Amino acid sequence: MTSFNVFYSMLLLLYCGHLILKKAFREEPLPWSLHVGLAFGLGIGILSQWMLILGMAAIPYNSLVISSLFIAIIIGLQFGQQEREKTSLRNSRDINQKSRAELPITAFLWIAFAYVAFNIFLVFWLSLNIPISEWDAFATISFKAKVIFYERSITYLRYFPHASYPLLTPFSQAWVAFNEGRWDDQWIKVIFPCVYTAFLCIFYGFLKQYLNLRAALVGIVLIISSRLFTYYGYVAYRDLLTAYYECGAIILLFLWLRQHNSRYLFMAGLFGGFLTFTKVEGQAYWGFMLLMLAAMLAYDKGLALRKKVKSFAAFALPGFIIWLNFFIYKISLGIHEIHDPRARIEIGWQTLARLGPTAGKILIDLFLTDNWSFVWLLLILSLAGIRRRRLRIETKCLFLILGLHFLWIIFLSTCTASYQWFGGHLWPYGLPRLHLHFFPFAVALVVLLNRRFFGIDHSGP
Amino acid sequence: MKRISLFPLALIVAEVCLIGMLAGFFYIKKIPFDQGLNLFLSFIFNPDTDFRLFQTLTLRYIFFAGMGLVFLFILFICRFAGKRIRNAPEKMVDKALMAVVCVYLLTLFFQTFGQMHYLLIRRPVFRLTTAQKYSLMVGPIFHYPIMARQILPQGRRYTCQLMTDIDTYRDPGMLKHRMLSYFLYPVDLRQIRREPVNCVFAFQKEDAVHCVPGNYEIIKQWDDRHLLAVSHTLP
Repeated sequence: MTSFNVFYSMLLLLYCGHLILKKAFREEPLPWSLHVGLAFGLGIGILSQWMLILGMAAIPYNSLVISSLFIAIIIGLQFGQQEREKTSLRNSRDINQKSRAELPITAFLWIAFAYVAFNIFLVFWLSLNIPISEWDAFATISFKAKVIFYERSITYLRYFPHASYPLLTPFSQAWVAFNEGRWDDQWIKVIFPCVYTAFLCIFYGFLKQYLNLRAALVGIVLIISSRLFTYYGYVAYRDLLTAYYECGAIILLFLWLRQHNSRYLFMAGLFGGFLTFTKVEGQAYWGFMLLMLAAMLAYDKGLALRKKVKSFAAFALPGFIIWLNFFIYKISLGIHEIHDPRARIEIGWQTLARLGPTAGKILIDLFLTDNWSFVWLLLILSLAGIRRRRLRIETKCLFLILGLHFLWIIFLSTCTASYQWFGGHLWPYGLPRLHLHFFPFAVALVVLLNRRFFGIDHSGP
Repeated sequence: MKRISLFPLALIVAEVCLIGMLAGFFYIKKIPFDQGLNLFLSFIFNPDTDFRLFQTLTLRYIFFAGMGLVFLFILFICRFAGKRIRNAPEKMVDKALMAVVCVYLLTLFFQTFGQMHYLLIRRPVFRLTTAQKYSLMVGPIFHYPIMARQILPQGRRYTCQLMTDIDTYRDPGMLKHRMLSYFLYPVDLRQIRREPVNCVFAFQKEDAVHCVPGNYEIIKQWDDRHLLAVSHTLP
């Protein structure tokens, strides 16, 4: 019964996200992998916002109250879409037949598929067989979820030491427990392997859309061969979710760049908003995305200024509303992160001396540990001869995001009281987690810059 | 086609070199082969840690980097012998990429092998219940809070005072404190509900009995260092 309830709780999120995406992209359906991957994240994001609203309204949580919104969405969208069902199904069948005809079945593909399937199995297995055992999970993440579950409210979260931390992960864990009807230290981790799989789906879908099946599989193999990425697939931390939402938002921005359909922008904005509700750093990453979109719009000479402003608003507004919702909650309780001693700004000549150790630790983590497999080394090698090539805007954007992330780490280390986590003695517990947030972009760059190896014409990466 | 035909050849050479280096390493260090194999597999995959084995990981990386150099050398000999130097730098990058990819594929092979090995050796542990797993992992830090939760009389909300000799302001004591709080909840050890304390939980506290305040009744004493007491006067 437990496994059925947990399965139901995950399926409800996925199905709700699926219906919303189906409605939003009914004219141009997304490829199945992107669709499934994004649907799950959308479901969790909506769940977290709904639980926050319920909590702020002091409505006691239970599985029926929480799932009422999903049931309403499903009823509303399912009946609204029935008329269109026949045509869209026919279209998707045509697409499937076409892609199947193009599919080259080789030994490499089978091995790669087997490798990916084994790793997904491994992550699910480890996640559902190793109970909560991580520092942050005991101290805040899962403990908050446990308090939400037992108290059926968020009233007491304000008294936690890190009360201002975003609540998406605790809410999603509590949601599993509400459906299960009891607190189980293993089942509540089901959310993480599901996000891991959803992440792989969107990453695969993105690379397949941009390059081809072989390149997409190589990208997936590169990403899952990273030990830290796999590790965060089965531990109860927020970092995989952060990477997922950031990657999802940027992929949607790239899709918008190709098709100029404002629904991609809106969806990217939603993912950006969910990112701010996943981890404190998510707010900065959302800022990077705004900067990246501004650069994209400035680069696009064919778009009128009015259209550019509209596009920017279509991305910024959903994220801003989600961010504002949580900001109001924090301000009303006086728990904003500016009160966190680690966020204290420290600027001076002395703090500049932290630059060297921080850079050293970054290099050690990227090249001398087994956290990232050989990805960063491959990226360095892929940069050879880059000056002679014409780079596509997506590649430039990925470089921009990568650069901003490194600058962010350096800023945190040199200008705030968090130095010990990035350049000091605690760096193994802080720095790799920040690297994980943008590691997928390094993999994407490796694949995009080496497109010539995947039988794609060299019209610039 | 010629370029592709070198790929499996180089892979085989690299594998032979790897096994040779491994065997040499075990021979020099006088490590029995089965122990050596387990040691090697734990380098490749150890899911209980993520980034804490720096020394061994660095050694491992150097090991594979050495392999990469051997590999690069082989490819260099194969591809550039007798060719003009003018084109070499450009092609060198592709060759280096291929070399890294080959070494990378080897690590993938061993990593997957290590993962399977891990699943097989841990199979008996995975069959245990959550409580049994926690018993193995943290022992008393799990047992005492769970027993305390079961012993406390129903129908009241409890906010507990922890009495301990552990330094809860720094690790590993800090983690122990967080774990106790987590396992004990809904009995509130961290006082996040801001309700008056009506229970005392002694964990690893020497002579715990004498530290219990007068208006508290000891409802369970496991040993000299572990006990549970509640106040009947407070709500």
